[in-house]
Amino acid sequence: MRRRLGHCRGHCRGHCRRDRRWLGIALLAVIPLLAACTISNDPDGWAQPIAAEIDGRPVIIARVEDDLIGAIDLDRADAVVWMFPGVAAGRPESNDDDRPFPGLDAPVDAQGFYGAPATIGANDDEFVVADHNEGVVYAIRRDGSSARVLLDTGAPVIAGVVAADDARTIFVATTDERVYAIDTENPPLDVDDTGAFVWVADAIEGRVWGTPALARSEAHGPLLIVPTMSGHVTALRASDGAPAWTFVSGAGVASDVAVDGGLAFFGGFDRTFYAVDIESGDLRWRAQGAHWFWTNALAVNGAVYAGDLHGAVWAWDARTGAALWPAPFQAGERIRAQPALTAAGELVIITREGTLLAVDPESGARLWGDPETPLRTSNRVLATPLILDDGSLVISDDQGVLWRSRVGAGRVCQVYPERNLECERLLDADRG
Amino acid sequence: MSFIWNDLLVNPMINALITMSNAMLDNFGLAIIAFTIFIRLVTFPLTIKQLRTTRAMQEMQPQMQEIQKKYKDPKRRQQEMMKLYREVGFNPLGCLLPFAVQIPIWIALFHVIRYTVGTTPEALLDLSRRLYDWHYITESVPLSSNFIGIDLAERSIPLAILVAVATFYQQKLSTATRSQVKDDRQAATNKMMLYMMPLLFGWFTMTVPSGLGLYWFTTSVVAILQSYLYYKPDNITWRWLVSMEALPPSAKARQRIAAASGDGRGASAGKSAGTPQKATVSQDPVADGAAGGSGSQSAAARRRRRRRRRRGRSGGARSERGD
Repeated sequence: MRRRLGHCRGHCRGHCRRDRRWLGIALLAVIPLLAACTISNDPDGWAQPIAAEIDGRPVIIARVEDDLIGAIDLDRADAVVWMFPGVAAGRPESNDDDRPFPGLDAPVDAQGFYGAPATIGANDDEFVVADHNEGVVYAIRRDGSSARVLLDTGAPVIAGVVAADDARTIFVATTDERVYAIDTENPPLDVDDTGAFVWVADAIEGRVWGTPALARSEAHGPLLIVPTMSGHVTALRASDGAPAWTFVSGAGVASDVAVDGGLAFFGGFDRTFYAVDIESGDLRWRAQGAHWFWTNALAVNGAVYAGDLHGAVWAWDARTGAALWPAPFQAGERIRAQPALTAAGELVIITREGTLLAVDPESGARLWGDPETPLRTSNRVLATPLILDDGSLVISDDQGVLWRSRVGAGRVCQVYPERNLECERLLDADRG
Repeated sequence: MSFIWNDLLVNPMINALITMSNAMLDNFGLAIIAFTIFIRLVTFPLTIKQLRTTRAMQEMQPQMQEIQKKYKDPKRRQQEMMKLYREVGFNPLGCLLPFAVQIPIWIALFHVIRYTVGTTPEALLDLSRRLYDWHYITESVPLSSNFIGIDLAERSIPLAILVAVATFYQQKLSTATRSQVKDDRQAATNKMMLYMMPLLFGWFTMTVPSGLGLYWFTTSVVAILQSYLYYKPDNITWRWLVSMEALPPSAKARQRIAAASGDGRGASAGKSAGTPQKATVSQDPVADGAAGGSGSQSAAARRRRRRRRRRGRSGGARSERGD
């Protein structure tokens, strides 16, 4: 009996080793899969910072700390005025992170704010943002004291919310190929509450990623021009959502639409930049790029500027499409952020890798940014920079860190969440 | 390393998948299925090598158990094992190596689909730098993510259930074809794997875009087919498919057991009556099917007969040494 037990133990030990081997092999297979799964596929968002005022003090409304929209007062020691959905203004901080933001029934699991905040109300009383993760559109009171849900679309929202001229109606375009017009004073309960919408357009052919643009047409009245990832660009009448015209480009259009001088401008994944007549939807001109166009075009002073994902920045005459520069400016790195024009007339370009540059908008010659020693942020930059009245550039990177710099300066300073005061002092001294 | 991973593996696969999607009338779901099958076919020589090695290992189980039983000294046992491996021309790494080679390809495929589905703008932006500079490819992105009512960029619970079911049967067939020895620990391990793996993969599928779920489902179905076609188990019944039981021995298996009881192995099994080894042969329907099921005599069957003859000649001497 003892021998038999001894045999069994030996036998089991042998099998245990084999079992362990099989388990080891299984783990070998599963661990990389687990690792692959844990690689973040979460949306970060690239909401453009905007300048605003709260209680007479200038603030920056920007995407901060990954998944939050914050009001940051750069002149205050504790820069945060409020952060949505985390910190409400005036509410004492608590370890209880599950507290809902005042005005909301439940905590918000927001992730990925892509569109710049829109403002509504007679006195810009509320900021409107839409989050990708839950597809919910929120209105946050200017002072951060409360927030409310305007619409739960049930689909990821990437495009920015557009506010109508009446500062009361907003337009929300979603990835489920719909556009909603909402009266923010009487918002619908949900997407099925169709009677409560100003209108709903569900004949949009393609997911909407780029922010639509409002344009004034003589023939149709106000139009909402909606780009889609199927390449269809549709103009909807802002009054009733009826389509006025549809332009079909060669591939998906992910960039926002820019409007100027009766033309709508946008670039697409077919490496082509288009200028379309707002009245008819007819093509006025088009130009070829080197790669996908994903930057929002800057249409200003009769010119249009756009960067592509090959790192080239192009400048065209807005009317004719004629190239303004002898050759496109080569930034050397892919560009997602929209070029920005300073009051002094410098065209600021920020690459995806966070390199800061400025070129002459007339000639395309480099004005700022040494290619040998590039000035750059620590993280990638996908959001369009904000230019303040004093000429400062405010840059929001993909990790929710805010930076400040100035064209011609030799430094870029972090201002949130950590603030480098010495760097800022030197930055301001450079200006002097 | 990055060059090998990205430029030689992931990026070509991404561009091939997009090309395939274009060729399939912009149906990304069909492209994922076709591409997964294609990759499984490309790696089939490795898979078949792995299956062969696994089967060879199964066939050696009686001898291995015999050695474990006879030699208490681990060092001596190891020597005897190695000797046995040499005798039958078995390479212990033969099972692991093809598996190890395939793992990077599977992971690459996983990443390829993750990149190509492009659920977030950032993902699509990342994809842009991986595309070849051909209009045919760059202009076809983003791919249409709708496949038979499933949005491949979103999570899908029905697909997660399908993945779990496919993984269950893959695991069940694999366990049935692998497990010859019925000791409690082995059975417990098999049972744990049988239930845990489907749950694990089902859960994964619920947390990732369903394009990846479609890949897992396809790869499981192909693996089931490959195992089925290779092992050709002749006694799978509907009852077994819906039950939680192990595969019962086939008629051929029972015949083989009866036949085996008259040769060297049968004698050996008889000597160790009451030990788990007796169940070894009786629970090997798949190997049985492969060995005696078809008219063509496989190399494995010939090897086994040679081994038996050898053991018939030298078994007594070895037994003396062992005792």
